[in-house]
Formats: sequence, C-alpha cells, structure tokens
Amino acid sequence: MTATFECKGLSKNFGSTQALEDVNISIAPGRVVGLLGPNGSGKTTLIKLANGLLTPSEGEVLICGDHPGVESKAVVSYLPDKTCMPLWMNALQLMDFFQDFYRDFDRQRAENMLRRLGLDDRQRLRQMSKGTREKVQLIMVMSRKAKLYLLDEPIGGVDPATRDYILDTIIRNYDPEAVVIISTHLISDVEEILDEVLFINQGKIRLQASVDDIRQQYGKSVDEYFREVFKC
Amino acid sequence: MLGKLIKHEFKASGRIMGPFILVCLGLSVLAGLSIRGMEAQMDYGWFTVLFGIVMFLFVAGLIAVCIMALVVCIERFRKNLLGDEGYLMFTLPVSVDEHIFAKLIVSSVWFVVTWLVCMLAFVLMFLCNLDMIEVNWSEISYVMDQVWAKLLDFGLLHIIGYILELLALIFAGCCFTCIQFYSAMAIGYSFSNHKLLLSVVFFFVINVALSILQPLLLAVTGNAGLLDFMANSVQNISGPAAVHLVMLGAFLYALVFFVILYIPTRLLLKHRLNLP
Amino acid sequence: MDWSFNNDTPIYSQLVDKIKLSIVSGQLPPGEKLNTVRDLASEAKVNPNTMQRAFQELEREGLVFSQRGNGRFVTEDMEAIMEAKKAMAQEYIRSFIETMEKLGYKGEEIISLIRGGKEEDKQ
Repeated sequence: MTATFECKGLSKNFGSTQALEDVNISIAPGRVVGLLGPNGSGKTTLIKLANGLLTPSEGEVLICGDHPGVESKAVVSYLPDKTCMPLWMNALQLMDFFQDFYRDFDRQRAENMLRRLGLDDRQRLRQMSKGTREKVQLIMVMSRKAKLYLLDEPIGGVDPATRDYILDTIIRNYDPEAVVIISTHLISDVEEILDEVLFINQGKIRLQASVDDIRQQYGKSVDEYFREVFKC
Repeated sequence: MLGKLIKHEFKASGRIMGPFILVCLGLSVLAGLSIRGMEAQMDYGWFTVLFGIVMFLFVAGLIAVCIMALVVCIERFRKNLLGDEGYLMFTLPVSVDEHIFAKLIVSSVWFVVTWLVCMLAFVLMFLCNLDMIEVNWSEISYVMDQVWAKLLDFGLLHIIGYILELLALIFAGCCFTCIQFYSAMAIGYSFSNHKLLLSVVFFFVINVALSILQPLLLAVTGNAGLLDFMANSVQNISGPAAVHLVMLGAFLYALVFFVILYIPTRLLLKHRLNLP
Repeated sequence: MDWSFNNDTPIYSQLVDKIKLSIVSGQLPPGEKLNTVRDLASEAKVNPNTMQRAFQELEREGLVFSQRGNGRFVTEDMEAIMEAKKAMAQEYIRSFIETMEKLGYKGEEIISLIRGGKEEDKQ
C-alpha cells in the first residue's frame, strides 16, 4: 500500500540556516498524527514543503506517491497557521470558492457545521472575531473529503472552548481512509486524539511512535515524555 | 480551472472597479446636465460654481478610474498571491501559469474596460446635450458610406484581420505592462525583508534594463537583416498586406519582451515562493 | 460516563476499563445497543481509532458483540459479565492489598481493618 505521506531524505535550508535535515517519514492511511516540537523546530517548514509552498533543497516529499503539484493539491486539505481566507468574503462566498476548486468539498457538511456554529452566512470574515475566523476556516478545511489533512497549529492561541470545538470537529470528520497531521507544541491538549506522534527538534525527526506505545513503554503521557526528551 | 480562477478574479476585482465605473458614468451624466443648465441659464452666479465642481469631479473620476485599474492590477497580485491569501491560492489544485494568466487576463480586461468607460463617459455627456447641437445626419451618413466603401475596397477579410490583430496587440501590450509589475514583485517578495521597497527598486531596474534591451534587440534584428527583409517585403507586397506585416511585427516584439519577464516570474513563484 | 484519563497507562486500555465498568455495574445493561465509535470518540474526546481498538479488545473478551450493519451491543451472556466483574474485583483487591502492604499492614491485619471500618460504618 502506498503511504499517504512520505518524506525521503528531505532537507531544506534557507541560506545558511538548515530548517530540516534528512527527514524520513512514512505514514499509512487512517492515522491521526501529531507533529510535535518546540517553536522553530521545523514543523511549519515541513508542512509548507508538503503543500508545495516550498521546494526541497534535497530529498523529496510524496503525497500518495506524487510530488507536490496540481494532483496532490487536489487531495490535500491545508489549514495554515494564520487566516488565509480573503477577509472580504462571507461564509457563502467561501463555500462557493471551495466548491469551485475542490471536487471533494462537501457543501452539505460545511453548511451543517456553520449552522451549528450559529453563524450569519452573510457576515464578512473581516467582521468576525479571531476565534470565529479560525472556526470558519477549519470548517472549510474539514468539509473536504481529502486524503491528507495538514493542520498547522490549529489550536494555537485560541480559548479552551474554541480548542474543544476544533478538536471535536477534527474527530467528528475523521475519515478512516485519510491521514490527519496536526502540528502543535500544545501536546497535552491533542494527545488523546492522536494515534502517532512525530517528535521534531532543530529540523530533525527524533521519534516516530504510537501514543499508546509511549504510555505502555514509559508509563507516562506523551506530554511528560516529550518534556523529558527535550529538557533544556 | 483557468476559467474558475478568472471568474473569482472578476468577482474580487469587480467589487472595487464596479463602484468606480458607476460613479464615473454617473458623473458624466451630471456633467452633461450641468452643461445643459449653463446653456439654459442666463444668470450664472452660484451655478457656475456648481458647474465647476461637477466638471472637476468628472475629470477627477476619470483619472481615478484609470489609476484604480492599475492599482487593482498590482494589489490583486500582491495581496492575493504574495500575501496571506497566497496560502489559500497556491494550495489550490491549479498551476502557477494558470494563476499568472488569470491575473493577466483580468487586468487586461479592466484596462480595456476603463478605456471604454472613459469614451462612454464623454459620449454620455454629449448625449445629454444632443438636442442643442445641430447635427447634419445626412452629412454623417454620407461620410459613413464613404468610409465603408473605402473599407470594402481594402477587402473585408483584411478589416477583420486588422481588428483581430489590433485586439491581440492590445492584449499583448496590457500583458507586457502587467508583467513588468508582476516580475518586479515576484523578485522583491522572494526576499525576507523590505519586500515592498525591493519590488519598487526592481521595477525601476527592470525598466532601465528594458530600455537598454529594446534598442539592442532592434539593432540585432536589424543587423540580422530582418529590417531589410521587412522593408523589401513592404515594397513587394500590397499595401493592406504590409499593414498586417507591421502589426505582426509589433505583436511579436511585445511577445518577446513579455516572455523574457514571464519566465523568471513563473520560476520565482514556483520555486522561491516566500509567503509571510 | 467519566472520560478523564490518567497519564501512565495507554488510553485504549483505560477506555476498556471504563466501558467494562459500565457493563458489569449494569449502567450498560445486557443487550443494550452501543453508540457508534465516532460518537463515543467524540464524547470522550479521543481518536476514533483508539475507541475502535478498545471495542476490539472488549469483543475479544466477549463483553460486546457486533452485528453486521446493525451496530454493537452489550453481550447477553450473563456468565461472561459476572466473570468480568469477578476479574475486575480481583484486580482491585490485588492492587488494594499491594497498597496496604506498602503501608506496612499484613494479611489478617488488613481484614480486621476492613471489618473495623465496616463496624464503624454501622455505628
């Protein structure tokens, strides 16, 4: 079976700084994976490479066997770590936009989630609070039936209620055939919804393991184990 | 997908250009009515002031709509592709070429529309005062007939050809204008700091480079005998055909410079994208 | 159901214990239809794969069974439930004794302490 997400000898430098160094990862369909690491460890660089927003310096990224490109972008659903939706649009216009460009966009699903959020369809993104914008953006991203979801810091800087909403949305829309990669440094918040974790630090993958294996083997949570591994 | 990109590009730019165009056309009618009022009113007084203001607004509106077409061309590329929205745009299942061409085509259309709006504005102003001007319709229709006859002499196929060539030339010219801004921004925004400043610097660098390159290209092609060939051809072929040749030459010339700037723009967006 | 987790054991095994407790205590009566994996995962805020794994474990132990296209049910086999109840009780007793021994009490002392506690309760 082809891995949904694969990195082979992947490196990326920006000038003289090495952001990623010889990263090798392979993730099979049906996994929810946490990409965990301190700030500036290379999480966002890895996700940008997977989206084709950056070009590798060495090695390659494969999405369902393809290099990032038009085909891979059609099956990857990406949530950047900032608001990227045009602020002049409202929810209806956003849905039109997603429906036009993504064949896997499930409008019904998006409408249901927006209704549950109690949002006015015609309110522009500009007029929404930061938390609401992030929710709307997540709804758009999770309303696609993609093969790979790349969520970059989905719960960074939101209040606990919003965080619960976001995690619940991810669980509810979970597709057993898809891979979800969640990058974050807030491990204890996401730990229970993960199958696997990737520890990344200073551009290198330090560990790929299943959450329950870590708990079984070390008798501690991933969060505690992470703190131990990356003790300063 | 190019069609969908163009559709959304029109939606996004239309919400800015649309109101400007409507205001412009509204002002042209007001200006026309002002002129009418001036003619009818013997006692000028405060009306002269109002008339002056309306005329000023009319001219300012026309200038504004032209500037806006350029601003929209630049800002849509900068904000939509190189700003935060770039995260959304460059992860759509669409190629970089489609992105650039969607922007080029929509901007070109707005340039042409702006030009048409300016013409229409004057026509509207004129129409508001149609009954005041004595028009000799038979004279006009006579002139039109003469023109039509001359055109037929030229050959209808030639005429259709000219129109198509002219449209191609206009489109190529618009694209060439846009790509100068796009390439400058693509270079400027590939740096991590002072992106906007560097874009402006590179815009001037590109312009200077072009002004050196353009005569150079002419000299080279001239040396290569192309100009002689053209001159000979013009002598040897019929008048109408010679016009085609000149149009074609101008088009190719614009195309060459467009491609020279398009290639680095495309490569930078594809491989050196540096979103905020 | 209380869905809080401790940190030192795998989440799936904690899920197994919680559901098992509901079954042996009768909170989930025999033959009762269970919610879908997705709903339960969402309720417990855990990964659906983990919830799935917990159910597979419970199926293996014979406490739940799935009917094709119909969902999952609590077993109607009272013997299996009683057996699980007994096993759980034994597990609790074992860990209780372990703790008591750490405190320095021995076999009979522990029993008399329990008796004493019970007497106090009655009074």
